[in-house]
Order: sequence, then structure tokens, then C-alpha cells
Amino acid sequence: MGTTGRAEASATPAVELQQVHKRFGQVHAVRGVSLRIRENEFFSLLGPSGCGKTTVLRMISGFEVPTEGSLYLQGRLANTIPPYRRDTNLIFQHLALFPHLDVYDNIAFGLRLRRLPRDEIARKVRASLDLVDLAGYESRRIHQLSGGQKQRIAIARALINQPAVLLLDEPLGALDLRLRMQMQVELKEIQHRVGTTFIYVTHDQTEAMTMSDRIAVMNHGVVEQIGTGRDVYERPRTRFVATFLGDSNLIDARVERREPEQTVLRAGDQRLVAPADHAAGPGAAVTLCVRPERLRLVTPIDAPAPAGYENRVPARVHDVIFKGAFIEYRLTTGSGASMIAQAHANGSPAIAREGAVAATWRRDDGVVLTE
Amino acid sequence: MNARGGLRPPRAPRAQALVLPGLLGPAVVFIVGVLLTALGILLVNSAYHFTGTQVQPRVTFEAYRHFFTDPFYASVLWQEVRLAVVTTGICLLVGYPVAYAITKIRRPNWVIAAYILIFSPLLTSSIVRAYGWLVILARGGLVNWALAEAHLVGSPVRLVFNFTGVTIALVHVLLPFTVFPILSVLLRTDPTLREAAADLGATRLQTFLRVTWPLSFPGLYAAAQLTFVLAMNAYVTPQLLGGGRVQVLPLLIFENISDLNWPLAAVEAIALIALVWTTMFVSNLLFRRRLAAIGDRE
Amino acid sequence: MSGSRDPITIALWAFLGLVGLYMLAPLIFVTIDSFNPSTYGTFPLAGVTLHWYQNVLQVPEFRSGLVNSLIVASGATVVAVALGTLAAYGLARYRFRQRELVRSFLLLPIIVPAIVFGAALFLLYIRVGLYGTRTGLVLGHALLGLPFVMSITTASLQTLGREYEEAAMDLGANPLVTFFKVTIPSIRPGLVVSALFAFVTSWDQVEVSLFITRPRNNTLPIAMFNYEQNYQDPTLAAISAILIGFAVVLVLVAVSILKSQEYRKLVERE
Repeated sequence: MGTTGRAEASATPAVELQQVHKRFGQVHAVRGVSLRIRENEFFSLLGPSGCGKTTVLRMISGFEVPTEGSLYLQGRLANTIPPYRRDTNLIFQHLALFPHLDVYDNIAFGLRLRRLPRDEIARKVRASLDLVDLAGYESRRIHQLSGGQKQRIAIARALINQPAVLLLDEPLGALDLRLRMQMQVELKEIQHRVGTTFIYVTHDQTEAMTMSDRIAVMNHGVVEQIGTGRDVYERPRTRFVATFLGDSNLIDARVERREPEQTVLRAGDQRLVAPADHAAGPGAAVTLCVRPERLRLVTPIDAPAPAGYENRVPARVHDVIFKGAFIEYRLTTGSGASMIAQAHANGSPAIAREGAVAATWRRDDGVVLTE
Repeated sequence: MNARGGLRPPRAPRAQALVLPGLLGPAVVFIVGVLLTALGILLVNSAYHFTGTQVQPRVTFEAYRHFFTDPFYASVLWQEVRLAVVTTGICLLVGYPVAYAITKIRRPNWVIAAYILIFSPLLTSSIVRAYGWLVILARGGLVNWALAEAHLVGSPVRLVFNFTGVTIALVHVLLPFTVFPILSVLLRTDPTLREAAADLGATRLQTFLRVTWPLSFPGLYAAAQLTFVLAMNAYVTPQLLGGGRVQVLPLLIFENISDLNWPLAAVEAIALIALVWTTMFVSNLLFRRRLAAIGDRE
Repeated sequence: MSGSRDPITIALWAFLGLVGLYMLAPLIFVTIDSFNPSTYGTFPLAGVTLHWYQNVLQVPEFRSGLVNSLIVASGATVVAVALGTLAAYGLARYRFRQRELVRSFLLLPIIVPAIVFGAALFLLYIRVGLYGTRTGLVLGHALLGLPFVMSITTASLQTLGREYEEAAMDLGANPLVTFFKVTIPSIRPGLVVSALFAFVTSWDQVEVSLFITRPRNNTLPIAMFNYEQNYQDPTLAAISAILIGFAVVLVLVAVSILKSQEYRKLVERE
């Protein structure tokens, strides 16, 4: 599990999965997933298409039954409870707003099923429309709404039932970039205001990192790492997590020796130092992961590195790409490997192509990956 | 898989395994109870004995013997197949250009008009349409009047109560069924394929011959099969417009049932079904490779 | 928009127009003939008369035929739509090993030649006492309409997808409530079309009705068929023209539905 400071390990999790598997015929979509999602948490399932994240979401909402393993909602075993009896609500990927009903009837749908009195329903619908900033839209038809408005009606329809857990299946995919970023902020605000546990499925790592308290990174049906956005980005556990979130420089190396505060690695004819928080022993093959923004390039090639930047790899600048807020350098090292470095575009002159540089980084900028 | 792709039907879990028979059961029981039972009785009757005035439940198979030995039935079968083949041929020759023409219409109102023109006759019963052709093709009817006015013929042409009349009217009845599958396939064809061909240097004719036509083959095939089957099964049109000169199996079936010769009628019915299914089976075998090749490319 | 006005396309459209005339010809000329004073339907018309229309009203078989057809077609439609929609839901929403087999099985009534079906039904009905009854007709016609209802409704359900039903269940509706409050309203156009198909199939049905009707209980097409065997005067043209009139009304209604806001809204889901 990821690092957290909160001492809530003893509180009942909102949702818990224990070794859950899901098979569809020959396809093993979810393999031994265990998760503990806390109350009031904004939790994301992040991964590429086909990694199983949507299947996990559908098991939590009740549309799929786990083949193996246990699913608990508020501490109750819930594997086979049908969706209409769970205290969860799902925002579908394509929203599934009923086209034959207007906005009011869509939002009131769940309440009407519970036979609440008419004026109470009216009150609640008005309040939920206020919550999503669409007061007065009661009699609009669904096809008259814009993409962003439909989004918010879907949220209102779900939240009005005050579920213990709100599930969101890549709801922002159909929106353009600007609207998407705006909705991300709004969703986060709504979650804070309402205090419900949100479980969010997405393939967009920026989205996950922006909104979530914690992220579970999934690949091929398996959870590779769980942690806060920062944990998962700065201290990835596996090659997949390192490459899925952001760019990384991956250097194949072998452990030469272990010391209390550091690991000494050998990559080709280079000696590199890395942190000691891993389990690999001397002689083991590992991958050293360094983020592009952690590299400092010094030129010319034998110029001194800043203090503490112990690692040094000579390289030649292969390409310079201006990306607005920063400059990306594509390097080719002496041994022929490629590296990417990122520097703030702070006005100082960029290094020219074909320039000879040394890529340097601090010991603790690197992460040793054993998988 | 629905149009959005991603959603699968669930495996029927235990509780729902009770619901499924409830949903499908009534329709299935209805068909088994009525249709299959009726067909079973028909089959059984085909073996019985007909005395000339009534049926006796004695198994003799003499109706079969009669059917397969009397040369009259060979001529009936020949007439039957001939009518179906000629009708199907004309329907395909007319139907394909019609379908193609519809795909080229841009304005939606004209498309609706085209659909109305081709498909609305289906809303009237075959009797109305047959009678309409009687009016047009009769000796004193429209066609003969027009031909006489134009001095193209000396005396009225025989257009009804013969094979020609039946064919003209049957093509009219079946043309919508020919157009529909062809039109469906043509509409489903990716237009960018045609653009790609043009981009690679193909003229309009070449694009048609090398891209559109081969891709539309499954539609043409389905149309041919459907039209052929419907032509083989036709009763009203040959009866009303044939004048007794066009003897096909459906007419005989009705006649024999009316005459109480149920065994013979049953044999003819079985022969009709067998003939149709054999043709479909053989043609499916013959064209299997060509259809599969196109299917892969979809 | 009008980029394809080359000669070949023009020729094709001209051909389409000709074929269109061919398709309308019998309907138009039957209507013209219904006013024909001459008993033998000679062309061109020597005048105009409404005599044949009056005759239609006086032929008792046509009156009873009309009533029977209405009752039978309505009954057959109800049965076909009810059974067909249930079956379509089972086929579209559940995955089970025999699915394709069941689907093909439900197409049986239209695979079997109508004339054979009629003969077989006759033999069955004689045995169980349904011969010449309206119930027998309703059952027979419902069987013929069933495959259409099933095909159209299955396609509608598959195109619709299960998202709305899942949304309803997620909001607390059990499967029964979901079916009536969400599924059925969502496939309403498909249901209307399949009901129409079932109705027209029964209304115009000849080959099967021929075998299972009795002179007292004829449907309208059979009454017309019998009339044609005996008389060849334009009374038949008059009743045909009336039926064509109904068909025209039906087409106009269908077109107005197609162009209506409501239909377009239901079809323009993202």
C-alpha cells in the first residue's frame, strides 16, 4: 500500500476488495485485486484501455459479479447484491441520461422509486440543480443540453440519492480540453462539499493526479501500485508505473554494492548512485528511473556539476523541442542510449543541437525499480 | 455489442436463468404448438391413402409415387423454376440500378419519396396489386390501348392469363424485396473506400467495377435468394394472372386441399420446401468462398 | 451537395423514375378503373361513375370481411408484439449458448412457404376445431407477424444498448420497473414499426387465410379473392381503391412521424 500519514487504518473502509478476480470466458480481466478505499476519499483507478479498471468499477456498482474474492461495501459482503439495492451510484461513460424524460424527471428518477412525497422531491431536485449550477433547467429536454451541462445533470441525478459511494466511469472523455479541466475542478469541489467517497476511473494520468487523494495504477488486470499522486509519480514501484505516468529515463544497471544510505550501481562503464529503499542485493539486475525534470545539463561536457549532483552521464544533444513552459532536450549518451531532459524556459539560452553535455542528477532523484 | 461498443450482455447468473425461459418460452411454445404440430400433421398425411373422395389414415406413400412418376409434375416443377428464375433475373437487373440510384440521392425529401415509390405497394395486399395488373394488361386495358394508339400492333396483345402477365406482376410484387438488401449493403459501404480508389487513379467506372460492385455482392446474393424463394412460394399472382396456364406448385397445393386430396397436397408442399432448400443450400456452397472473402474485409 | 450531376447519375435517376411509375401503375390504374362505367374495364374511360363504390357497400361479404379483418389484425398484432417483444428482450439482453439457434427458430414462420403453412394449419385446425374461427385466424396471423416483431425489436434493443437500463437499476429500479419505465419507452419507435408490420402482415394476408377461413368468417382479402373468381367488374377496383386510400393515409402518417421532432430527438442520441 502507499504511504499515508493518516491513522485511519482501523476505520471501516467505504469499499474493500480482497483478492478479487473476474473472468469472462477465457479472458482474465481482473487478477487478484485488493483495495481499501476510505470514506470521503477521492480515489482513482488509473490505467490504459483493457487494464480492468472499468470491470472493477462495474463490480463495485453491481453490474458484474466477481468470479473469485470478496467485495465489501461499508463492511458488508456485497458480491451478489444487485445494483438497485446497493448504496452506490454510477456516472456512466456516456452518461445514460433518459432521452424520453426531461431534466427534472431524470434527476427525480431515483427519488420517485423510493416514493418520497412530491414536495420533498421538488425541494431536493431544486437543491441538486443549484449544486451543479443549473438552476432553472428543470423542464429542458436532454437533447437541448450541451456536453458540460449533460455531465452535470448526470452528477445531480446520482448525488441526489446521497449514495455512500459515487462511481465515475471516465465521465469527462467526451469533453474538449478546456471544459474537461474546468469540470475536473468542479468535481473536486463537489466532492468536498458533499463529502461522499468518489471512485474515479480514467486513463488520463494528469486527470488522476489533479483530482485524487490516492491513485491505484492498474495494468493487465493487476494493481501495480497504490499511493498519492506524488508517491506514484516520484517513487514508482514498477517499470509500468514509471512509464505510464509522465516520461522517465530508464537505465538498465546492476547492483555493485549496497551501503546503509545508498546503492552503488554499474551501468555499462558508468558508476551511479541511487537510494537504498529497495530489496535488490549485490549482482541483481535493476532499472534506474530518473525523471526528465530532475536532470541538470551542464556544458561543456567536463564542466562541474552543481553540489550534490553526483551522477554524471556524458551525452550529445540530439534534438531541442520548445514546449512553451519548458524546453525538452533529447540526448544520446556515450553508450548510444537515449535520454530526455527537461528544463524550465526561464529565458536563459538553450543548449544547441549537437552540443556536448553531461546529464547530472542527485542520488535521491533516482528510483531503483526491481520489476 | 451495441453501437457504442464496450458493453457486453452478462452471463445469465443463477437468478436470471429463471427469467430467460419466461421471456423466450411463450414465443417458442407458440411456434412449436401451432406451426410445428401443423407441419407434423402435414408430413404424416403425405403418406396416407386417398380414395378419390376422402383420406384414409393408411400408410401407402402412393401420393409420393404418383408425384414422382407422373410427367405432369415434372412440367409443373419446370414451370415453377422457370418462373422463379426469370422473375429473379429481371428483379436483379432492375433492382440493382434502382438501389444504386437511391444511394446517389442527396436531398432527404427525395430519398423519402424514393422509398415511398418503391416500398409503399407493400402496404396493399397482393390481390389489389394483381387486380391492378389485370386492368392494365387486359385486352381492353391501358397497354393495349396505348399500343393501338401508337399503331405498333394490329390486334390486342395477349398479356394476361399467361406466363408473361404473371412475370410482369410478380416482378412488381417482389422488386421491393430485391431492392432492400442491395440498398442496405450499398448504404453500409464505407464511402472513403471509393475515395481511396479515386485517389489511386481509378475512373468512376473502374471504381464501380473494382470496389463498389464486389463489395455489394453479399447484398446482391441475399436479394437473389430472397426473391427466388418468394417467387417459388407465390400463390396469388400466378393464380389471378395465370389463367390456368401457369401451373406452379402453390396452385396445386391449394387445389388438392380443396379436393380433399390431402396426401398429394402434402407431398407437393414437401416438394416445394425441398426444392427451395436444396437451391439455397447448393448456391450457398457455390458462393461460399466469394462471400467469405468479402466478409473478412468489412 | 449537388456535385454528382453527371450523365450517368441522371440516367440512373431517370431509370428510378420509370421504375417508380411501374411500381405505382397498378395502384393508380385500379383507382382510375374504379370510376369506369364499363363493366369490363375497358380503357380509356368513357365517363365517370360512383356506381361501383355504392356496390361495394352493398356486398355483404365485403362488409363482414372488413370487420373480420380489423378484429383479426388487431388481435394478431397484440399477440405478435407481446410475445415478440419478450423474446426479443431475451435474445438481446442475455448471452447463452443456444442464442443463434433460438433466433433462427423464431424465424420459422416466414421461412416456411405461406401456402404450405396454410395447408398445414388447415389440417391442424380441422382436428382441433379451429377451422373457420377468428381465433384460428388470429393465431395464424400472429405467427406470421412474430418474426418481424422479433427482428425489429431485437435490433432496436441492441442499438439502444444497456446503459439506460443499467442507469435505472443503479438508481434503484428493479428489473420489472426498469423494463416498463425505461426500456419500453426507449424503443417506442421500433415498437410502433413492428406493430405496423404485424398489422399489415395480417391485414393483407392471403395464402394462409385461404385455407383457414369459412365463408361466414372471411377476411377482406379472401372476400375479394372469391369475388374475383366470380365477377370481374370494377367493384373490385372500387374496394381496392379504398384500401389503397388507407395505405396512402398510413404512408402520410409514417412520413409525418419520421419528420417529427419527437422521433428525431429519440434518434439523435450522441
